[in-house]
Amino acid sequence: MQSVLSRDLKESLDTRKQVEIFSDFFRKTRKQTSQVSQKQSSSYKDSLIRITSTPVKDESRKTRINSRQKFDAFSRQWHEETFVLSSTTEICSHNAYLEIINMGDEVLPFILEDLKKSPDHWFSALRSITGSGPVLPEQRGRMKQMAKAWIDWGFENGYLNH
Amino acid sequence: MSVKNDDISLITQSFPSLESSGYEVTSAATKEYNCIAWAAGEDDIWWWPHHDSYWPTGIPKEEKIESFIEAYQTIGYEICKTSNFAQGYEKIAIYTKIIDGKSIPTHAARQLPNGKWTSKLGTKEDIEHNDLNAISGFWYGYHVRYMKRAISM
Repeated sequence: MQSVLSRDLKESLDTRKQVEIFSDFFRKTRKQTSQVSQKQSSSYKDSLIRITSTPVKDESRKTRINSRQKFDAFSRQWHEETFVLSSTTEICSHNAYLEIINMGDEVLPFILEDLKKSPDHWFSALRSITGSGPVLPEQRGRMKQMAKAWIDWGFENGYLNH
Repeated sequence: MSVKNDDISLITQSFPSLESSGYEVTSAATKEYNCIAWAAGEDDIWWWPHHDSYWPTGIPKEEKIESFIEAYQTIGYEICKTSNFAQGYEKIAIYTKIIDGKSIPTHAARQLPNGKWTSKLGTKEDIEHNDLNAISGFWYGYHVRYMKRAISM
């Protein structure tokens, strides 16, 4: 009994130590990323303003920039905290992922642009936000084919431009 | 094959025992397949009992060890008692972790002909590792079930 208890205690301490090491690593990484992104932020905003320089009201441009920044922050957090997982369920129920879903259809262009760069686990979010399902049953799990199905859907529905 | 230094750091931070027990990165990072598919010998599909992933037809889409065992049985694996190397067979080990009081499968590793193990780490790289325990712990829990199938010549 004693050996079982001490093994459990050791595992618990090992796990705690691992969480501390991991959190520390992410804090350092975030700090470095933040220093880089501060340098880049003005050019990033400039480029966003250029992209959105169609005749729209200032307010909607600001909203779009805020949405983009929120999306990027949640997306970064989601990737950082799920990279080691294989469970689609766990990956797609992460808090940051759910926050992105809560942002609604304003994130669709961002997600679809991201999918154009490389396949990722955005399919559950896309289904939740749009209520659509362009992926065929035989394509499930084939990330490239699923991404293509959604990108095609994005073009057809005006969320992506040629 | 290019492996980012950041990824090496992430791997060793996530699995601290890997360095001392020995491991090698054997692929580039990819989101095209996961460990469950990789253990099944596939590298272009993501297996999971979930609507947006592949799961063998007719097998319950449940996050239970029984469902994972049935999934591997569809490709010729049968349950065996240990992870010990057996000539003429390839083995897989399934890991589970307690989440909300339930034992949930988290990871699978496949034994190589040299007796070492190969694992795909989430959306990152494949690794070859000497010891199943090296990736046990916080993320994947522990290896609890083993399966084997004869190697076709």
